[in-house]
Amino acid sequence: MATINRLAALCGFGSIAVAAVGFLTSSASTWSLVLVPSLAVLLISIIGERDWASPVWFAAQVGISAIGGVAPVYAVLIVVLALGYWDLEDFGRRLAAAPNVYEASRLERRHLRMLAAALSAGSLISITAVLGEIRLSFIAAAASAIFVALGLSYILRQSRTSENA
Amino acid sequence: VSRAGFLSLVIWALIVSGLVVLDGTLIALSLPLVTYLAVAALARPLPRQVSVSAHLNQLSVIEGRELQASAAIRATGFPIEELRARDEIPTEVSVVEGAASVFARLGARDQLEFSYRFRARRGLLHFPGVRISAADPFNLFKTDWFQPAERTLLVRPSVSRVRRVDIHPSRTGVFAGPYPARHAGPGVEFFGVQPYSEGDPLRWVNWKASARYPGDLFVNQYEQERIIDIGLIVDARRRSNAVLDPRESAFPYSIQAAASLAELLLSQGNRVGLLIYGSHLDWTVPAYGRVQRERIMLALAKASEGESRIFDHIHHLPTRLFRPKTQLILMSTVLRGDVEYLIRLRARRYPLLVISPDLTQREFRNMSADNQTSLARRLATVEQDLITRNLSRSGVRRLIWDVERRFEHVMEARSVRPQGWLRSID
Repeated sequence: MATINRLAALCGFGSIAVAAVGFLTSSASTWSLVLVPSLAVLLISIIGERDWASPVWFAAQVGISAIGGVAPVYAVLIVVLALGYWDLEDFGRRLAAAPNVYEASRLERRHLRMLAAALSAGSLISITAVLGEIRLSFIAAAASAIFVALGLSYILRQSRTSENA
Repeated sequence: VSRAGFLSLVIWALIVSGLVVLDGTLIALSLPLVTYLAVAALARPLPRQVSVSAHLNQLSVIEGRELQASAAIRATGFPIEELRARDEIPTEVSVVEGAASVFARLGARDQLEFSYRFRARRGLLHFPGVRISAADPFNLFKTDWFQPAERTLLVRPSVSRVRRVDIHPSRTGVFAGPYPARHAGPGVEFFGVQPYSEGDPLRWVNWKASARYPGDLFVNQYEQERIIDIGLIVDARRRSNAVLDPRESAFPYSIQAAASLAELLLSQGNRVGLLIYGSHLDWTVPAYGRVQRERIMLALAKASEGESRIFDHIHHLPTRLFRPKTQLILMSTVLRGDVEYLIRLRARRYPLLVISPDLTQREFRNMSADNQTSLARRLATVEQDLITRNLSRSGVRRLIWDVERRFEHVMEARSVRPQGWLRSID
């Protein structure tokens, strides 16, 4: 539990630190002021343990990375670390809420392995896409977006069906 | 919004904004999130991919004793990354050790066991099964279902070890038992003196009486002891069991008294019947022996307080269920309106003993010691004394059981029989 919370905090502060470095090394250094409220929300999430704080902070970090004008590699790192925090914070909460966790350390290790794999693969694909300069026509990009949208809708529908099982 | 829905919204926002501003970086930023979502979707659990078996280490237990429940969950082919299983327990159950739920990862064909110890309040309790919640490793896709694993537990009322009960039935049975039959015959208690007749054992000769009348011999007579018919009546009307504290009730004590007496009276070989008088009539036909004890314990375990327009007054107590002159033992706090009917019942030649659980001492102990409380306490005591006196004048005996004391001690104190020489004076 303590390990999960420490790692979550590390991801959270790491995301803010990367954003700060990204802003300072870019032309949009005034954007670094946005990180102050972001840090405040992160502290509310870590210390105050408010349910709303973690998703709000995650969405804010994604927004900052998208429109803040930092270098693409920094932006990907901000998003990945923010995603790591959002996941680990929720996992820690699930562990704390369970009165009886069977082989907790094994469960934690397994979760961390899967999260590391997902985040590493995601970062790799994302950085490759950013650095690879893939050029798509608008039609192709729109078709890909529609494909992704349909995929997401399918997944969500499946998830709703299984929740009602 | 679920976690999966929230993440999808963020992905959507990135893709749409990337298309709107024609910036591929925004779309690329969504890729770690899409990968995360895809991993979760691939590892999402399928519903009902487990088998559950659950059991209790006893089928019947006395109220207040601890017992153990355990459940085993086995995956039937697919792993479940996050499994939450919760044994659905009745509200009468309180867990004292361990937990009735578990959070774990269940590998393909793994078996997971968990157990807990609990105490339960009186009743016939049903454990319907286990509620299972399965999720992917990131808790994005969840599926919940209920896996039946039915178990039934009979929690019997706690029983006090009462050694004797002071009753004087007017009619006794045929077989030998512990209650005086008011007839001379083989027995151990002194009954009277009669002139010696041929065949009387010499050790029965009453030498003192014979010495007063020279020329005559007198022998002692002894009182026969027989089994009896007993009707236990439990007053389950809500208004007669209500006390000031809504969490408390006199009813559990009435049940305990009835269970203790049933245990004692049946073990003595008597024929015992039970009537629970509340929202309806729950009648256990009089009988003897162990099977009858189980029947009565089951009825007492299931008994609950209730209200009914018909049975709101004790006047509708169906005495025809009991044979004439059956010894009746009523467990009731006795309301003022009940007194008249109880006297009438006695007049119909039913020997009646009333056992009244009294929670007054307990209630007043938790109150402030001011003048009003003191006055209220005195009034409550006077009212109870008045009821007891009215009943006693008509031959109805009433035993007030201060629930702060143990039932067996109260019964013991009331059942102390005087020494033989003192009884002969009486």
